[in-house]
Amino acid sequence: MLLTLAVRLAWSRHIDYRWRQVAFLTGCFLCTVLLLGGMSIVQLFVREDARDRNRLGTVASTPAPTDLLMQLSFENADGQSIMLLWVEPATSEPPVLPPGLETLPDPGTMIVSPALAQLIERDEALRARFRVAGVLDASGVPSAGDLFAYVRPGPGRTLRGDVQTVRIARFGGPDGTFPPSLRMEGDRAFVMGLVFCLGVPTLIVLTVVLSAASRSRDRRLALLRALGVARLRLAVLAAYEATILATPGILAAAASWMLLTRHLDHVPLTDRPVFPGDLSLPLPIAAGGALAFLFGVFSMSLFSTSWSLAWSRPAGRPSLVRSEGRVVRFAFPIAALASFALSARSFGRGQEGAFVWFVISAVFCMLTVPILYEALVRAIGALLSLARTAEVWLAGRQLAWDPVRLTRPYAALGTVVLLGITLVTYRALQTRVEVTRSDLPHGPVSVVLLGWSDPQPEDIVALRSRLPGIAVFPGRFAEDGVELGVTCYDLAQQFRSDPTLCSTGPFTLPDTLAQDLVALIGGVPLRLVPAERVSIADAALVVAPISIDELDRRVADAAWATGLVAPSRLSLLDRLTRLHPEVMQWVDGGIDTVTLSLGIGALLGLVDRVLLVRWARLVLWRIGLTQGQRRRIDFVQVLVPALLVILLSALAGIGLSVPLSLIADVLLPSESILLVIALAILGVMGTTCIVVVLGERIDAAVRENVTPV
Amino acid sequence: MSAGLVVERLTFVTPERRLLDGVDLVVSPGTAVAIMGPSGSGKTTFLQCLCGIRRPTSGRVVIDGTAIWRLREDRRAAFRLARVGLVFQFGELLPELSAVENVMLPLRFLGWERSRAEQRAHQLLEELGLAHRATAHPEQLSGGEIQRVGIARALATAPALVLADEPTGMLDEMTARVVAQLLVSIAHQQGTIVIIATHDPIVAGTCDVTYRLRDGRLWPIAPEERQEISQCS
Repeated sequence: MLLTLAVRLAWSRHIDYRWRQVAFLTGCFLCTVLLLGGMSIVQLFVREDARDRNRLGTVASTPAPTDLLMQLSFENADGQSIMLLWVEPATSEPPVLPPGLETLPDPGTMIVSPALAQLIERDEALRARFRVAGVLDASGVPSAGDLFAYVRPGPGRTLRGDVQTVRIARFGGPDGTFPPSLRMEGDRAFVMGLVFCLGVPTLIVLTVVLSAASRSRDRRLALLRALGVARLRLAVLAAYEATILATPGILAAAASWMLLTRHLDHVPLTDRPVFPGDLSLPLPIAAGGALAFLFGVFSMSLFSTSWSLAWSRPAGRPSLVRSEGRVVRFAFPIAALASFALSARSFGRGQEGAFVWFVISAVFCMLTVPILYEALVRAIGALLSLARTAEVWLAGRQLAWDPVRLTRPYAALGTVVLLGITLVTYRALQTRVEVTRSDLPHGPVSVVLLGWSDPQPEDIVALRSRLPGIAVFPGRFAEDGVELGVTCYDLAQQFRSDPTLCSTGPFTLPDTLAQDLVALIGGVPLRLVPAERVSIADAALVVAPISIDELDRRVADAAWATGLVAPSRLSLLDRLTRLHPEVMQWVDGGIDTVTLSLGIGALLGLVDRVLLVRWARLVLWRIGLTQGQRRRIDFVQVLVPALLVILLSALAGIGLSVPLSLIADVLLPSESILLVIALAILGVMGTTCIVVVLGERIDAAVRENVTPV
Repeated sequence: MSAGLVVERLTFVTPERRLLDGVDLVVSPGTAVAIMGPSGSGKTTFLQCLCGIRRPTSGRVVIDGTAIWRLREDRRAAFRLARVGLVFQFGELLPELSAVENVMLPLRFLGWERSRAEQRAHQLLEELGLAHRATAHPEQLSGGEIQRVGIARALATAPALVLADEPTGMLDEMTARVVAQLLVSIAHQQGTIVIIATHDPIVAGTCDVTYRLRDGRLWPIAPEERQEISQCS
């Protein structure tokens, strides 16, 4: 009986119920996609971690003929780091192979990850350096964006005998340690925190949806209550009705998401690449998620209806219904402050839980804003109702009367502003550039220290021939630094220094020159020795009066053209702050997702608000208020609470951001914060116009059918 | 410029039927008129055409010398605010305003000072026996009280014309009689034209003149017939 009644209530043809159906379809679709999207991200990480573990090799405890020799080096391109894994069989027997590799690349060639293949295609310099023999398949690459390659030393070169070479006995074992993981635990924690934070917009959208046309539904429930239906049965009826309305949106979202994720090569709204299928959810998990959400809708509806039936009279004053929940009203701000204090304390002590506490405090803060907002709107409404102007007086009385229903859309806006400000601060923290190119010391010359494995006697000659007009001094890595086969005079000449500096002897590095070198290549200890002692060089100090970027590029080209094994370069460029694109992709995606979902939530709320006030507007029109008067009431009713929520959430956002920036020692990104606030205000202005126009259109439609609900 | 209400050849046609078919009516100030007729006969449409809410297909409505359908939308609304009082079946008070504030509403929008409007509203509520309920909100008022607050709101601006659409539809017999008598006495005491659309013979019986709306036209009901209907009911 209850279920039949719920079905009839849910699919009623009344205009308010039509709107409730549309709001449920849209909102539940969006919330389900957000929920499944969050689950897909977890699933993505599980898959990537599994592939990452499979890629790790176990270092051989005793040599075996099937061991694979490996060595690690890094190359930089386009501000990104590329991991190069040098591989070579230990014997003539086929070695163990990492996943994704069917055979080792031929000598002098490499097999690259898909993302690196794309980068090489775009980068001319990399194309000239790397001889690509193939692309790894997805099973051997943890993440679609990972930049790495398996490189085989060229003919006549080997990894054998080098101290940095490791022997790998097998891949994918539980004790795998090499190469180092490409995953960063801090990033994962951040992304999971971000996904957790998306729960708040989801909750807000769901609240807006559950409240769509709620006054009509409440009237029907009040009627049934008057007929003697028990409170619990009414709550169950309301929960059934909400569940029936939510089902199509949830099913459509689940089906669409399942279909979409099979083909997605990026996480939606981010630039984070994924392999097609990585985001897809196994059917039982997706079904479980959808069912959990459906149960959530049922429970929320059951709880909220029981709550309102327990505290309100049949046609009671709406604002008084909520005043009973004072405990909740105080609990959230207190929890926000407490978790924030814990976060600050953990940050101060360098403890790991700091970020988790920060996320928790941000979530509580997001929940606090709507609660404080309701009380603030009521107070401002009461103030406005003291105004001399009739329009402001009436708008104020209406705001003070029902702040919850009239301002529900703006709670979503508040969360957008709060999260927006917090995320732009976090973005600034992640993208802070401590050293830029202009900060690098400008001397008369640039210097690069090149190092490599398996040195050959002709390497220096080959390098010199490929670097005409550039000084290349041979060197050798020793236990306590690098020995350079060059005299002080030759070095001083390159640095345009006074030769009298070298008065202490040809192989003594004067302090001023040593300081110059430390400034240019970092703190690697250098010693000058006679050139004969460096007959086979595995390092070279390259000096030229050209820009460091130009020198670095030319040294890299020469090293690769010479066929050096695992070449690495030390220079001023290492000091440049490298951005953290992985986190940035997630932050930007988070901002987009929050803005989009809460934007849709706010839109649903606004339409609901317009429909909610239409009967009051109709009465005003019939009494004889002109369009201008009604429009002014609308403007005050929309603009005042909207600007108020921007102010409140901006204060809350800045309140979260200032300590964050102080702890991380970065400047508060005031321009970005102002931009967020300005965009919110512009959005509010536009929305106000839409609300007013939409209200007038609905008025015109309602006038044709003036029978009250 | 003649005082009173003049309706000439008022017609309202919907795609399905002819609700009003050339209605003519002249009402002098201080007269209470009842329009009777079964549901769907066009009583509400007739009142809506009279006050400028629903545009008739043709015809003329002149209130105190002003042909209201010649006015533009906003001027017509302003005219309604100042010169026409409306009493609805469900009272249609704004829930967020107290009884006195609901009565003040049209006065505030006519530009009255708050204190002056409040004074006038209190005076009207007192006259209608609701002084003790001035600060109550609609949800705290009974059906009869809501209707009386609605009447006070309609009278606040001392209008030339008061239109009441089924004002007693939701009330018990005793309260209905009180409300009807109140409206008629207002017409007599203040020289206001009161037009009541009703299907309640008791209400009709209290008015000076009664018409029946049938086939889109107004047919006067003779006093004897009115008495008969009233007694039967």
